[in-house]
Amino acid sequence: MLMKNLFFRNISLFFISLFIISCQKDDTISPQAGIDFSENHLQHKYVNADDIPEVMEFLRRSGPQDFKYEIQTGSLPGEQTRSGEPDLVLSDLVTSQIMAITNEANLTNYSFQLEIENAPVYEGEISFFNLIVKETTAQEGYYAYIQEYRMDENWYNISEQDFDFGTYVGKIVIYTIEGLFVFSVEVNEGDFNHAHYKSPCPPNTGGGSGSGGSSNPPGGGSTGGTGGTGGGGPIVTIDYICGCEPGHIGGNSNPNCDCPLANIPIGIIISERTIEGIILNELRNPCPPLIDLPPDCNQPNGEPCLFGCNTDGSCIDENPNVGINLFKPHQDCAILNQIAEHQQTISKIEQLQTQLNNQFESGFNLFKSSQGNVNSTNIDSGNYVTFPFSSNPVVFGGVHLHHNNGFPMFSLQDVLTLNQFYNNFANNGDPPDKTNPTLIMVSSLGVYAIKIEYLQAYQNFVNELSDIEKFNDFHNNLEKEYYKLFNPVNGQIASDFQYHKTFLKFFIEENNTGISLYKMNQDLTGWNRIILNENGSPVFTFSCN
Amino acid sequence: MKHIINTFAILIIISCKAQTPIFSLSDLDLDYAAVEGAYYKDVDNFFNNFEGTWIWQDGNNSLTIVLQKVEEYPKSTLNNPNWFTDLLFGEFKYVENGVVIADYLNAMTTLNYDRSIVGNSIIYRGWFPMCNECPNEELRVILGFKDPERPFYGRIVLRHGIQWWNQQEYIIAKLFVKGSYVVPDGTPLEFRVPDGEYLLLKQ
Repeated sequence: MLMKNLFFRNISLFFISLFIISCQKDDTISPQAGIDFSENHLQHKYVNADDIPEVMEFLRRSGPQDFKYEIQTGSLPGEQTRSGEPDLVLSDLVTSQIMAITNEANLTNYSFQLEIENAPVYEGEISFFNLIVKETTAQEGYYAYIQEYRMDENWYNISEQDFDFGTYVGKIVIYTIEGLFVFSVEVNEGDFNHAHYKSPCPPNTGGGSGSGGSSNPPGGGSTGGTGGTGGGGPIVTIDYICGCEPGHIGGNSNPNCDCPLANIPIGIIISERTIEGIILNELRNPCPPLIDLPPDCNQPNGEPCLFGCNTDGSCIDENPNVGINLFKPHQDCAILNQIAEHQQTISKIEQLQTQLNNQFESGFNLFKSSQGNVNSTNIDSGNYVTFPFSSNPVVFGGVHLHHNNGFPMFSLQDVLTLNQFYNNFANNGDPPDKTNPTLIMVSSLGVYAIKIEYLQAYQNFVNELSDIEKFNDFHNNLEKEYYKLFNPVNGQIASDFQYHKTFLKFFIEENNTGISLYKMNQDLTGWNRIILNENGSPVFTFSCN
Repeated sequence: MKHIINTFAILIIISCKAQTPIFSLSDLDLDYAAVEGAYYKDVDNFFNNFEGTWIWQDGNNSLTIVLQKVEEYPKSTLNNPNWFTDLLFGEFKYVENGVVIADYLNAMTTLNYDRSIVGNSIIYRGWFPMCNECPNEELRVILGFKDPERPFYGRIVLRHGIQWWNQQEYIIAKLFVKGSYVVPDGTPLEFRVPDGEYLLLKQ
């Protein structure tokens, strides 16, 4: 009997244990594997000016205080500017979305976008500029220069938004931070040719000049640096951080791409160095007095130092990798910019901003004139509970309010309204064009626009939601997420950051709806695209201006 | 011995099924429909308050709403192929000046998403639409509302209460359309049941 009881108890314990184990296993959730963003021992990320105060302080000390840079583009050897055009580029530093590349030695280079205010136009070429700030082990800590990507117009036209530099056709031109030409190289689908180097210095100062030589493999030639001449072939290589197809911005915005870099625009790195550091010396310390020239120096193995010498004869180290921080103006920007430039439309948006506490809906239609110009109807302030946009075939979009008593972000219905614009707009007899439909929403958080980015994905989404249960579920789920951003007692809403995050998470990250989100700047003069970065945080990725 | 093993085996199966993750629909931080196999439940049976037939009457105008709760309704959504939830389904009848404008009450024999009223969102005082007259702890439900003869979608918010003087149960229903639509000129912009707030008594 005792044995039987013991046996029974053991069996019971066995089953109870089994029960606990099996049930625990059911509830176990495996942690999601982390994503390694490093490749080739480099780390890259995007930062804002506030994140890098030392770098900004260096730029204030070493360049124009207002961050407006001037570049002498016409000094490129053998090049001609268009007749009658100025030879000068005026540009503003963009202090957000700064690409930071850090190497194994923990040295970080920063690539800032330069926004062009005024520039000569070269036939068949289109230019973009980056300001590069390099961290070095030299005493000064940083140095800066300007890098121009003078793209072949045909290559530019066929390129996607984030450019595929593996096929690059055009020139790479380097200027000092003062905007003086130093170096250029022609690139043809990855092959580098016709490198030109010219000292930016007047006679009787440091620096050298020279030209010629194929850059790949590195050419020989005599050294510059002390006023001599000769060609120094730079080693310029381009490496991809992410091998996704062009145009992919990460995440699941494109279902055909499994790029691990979620929502980071593809970065490309150029490594550059020169024989005996000629160019780098020019950039780091342009035109030094002869007496201040650094001493000769070598690495421990006897090879010349790659990046120049410290005053004590030791080698300067720096990160040779420079990020290319460029975006082609998005096709969506054309319409958005026209809206931003149409003063009457902006005045109406300003008027809607004063009506956020009204009880009834108001808004207006966006249409194109027979000449194709963007225009808008008068504000319609009927006692609407839902805003009715016109189905007139000249109407391609509209602007409406989200009152303070509601959700300050686009609803599912708003997203579906884009489809109605897409189908209704006559497009001057041409087939429908996804770049036309534009829905703008004015709320307490600002002025937002949504556009169709991937037409096929968007249409798949719309078709899927023609099922009433799926529509209801999506609506219900989105509403539950938006509700979480309300204070449950006093109704206070969360920050715009939280709403951007929720909207993008829902419509881009978790559901491939094919749309894109833009926010107008505060003075209503331009638009900025918002995406989620690799950490799931919303960031402004580029400006349409 | 065989009985013991069988009994425990059955217990394991039943117990493990009971381990299906259950989330409360009134949880402030609910990640709705996020976990495969989970049950998003009206844990406090709050929806039961709204079940039944409710009538608003004003002269020759009347609005009748019938609501019914369904438990563990099986769901499959874009990101989660298998989960369950509790839902309220409903239909309405609207009479204006003695004329029946809309009557879908007979459709309540089938409870699915073809119904005019469907949903399960439990909302707090401060959540849209803000309820200034609600005590801080009062909950409401907000459900989807569609009029089969209108091309747009709306919401109906329900408050439940009991009249203290006669213990009569009531709901206050707030009906509204929100959002933007492209509509041909002349399209009615409201449901056939006018937007607004209705006090409906339980029958």
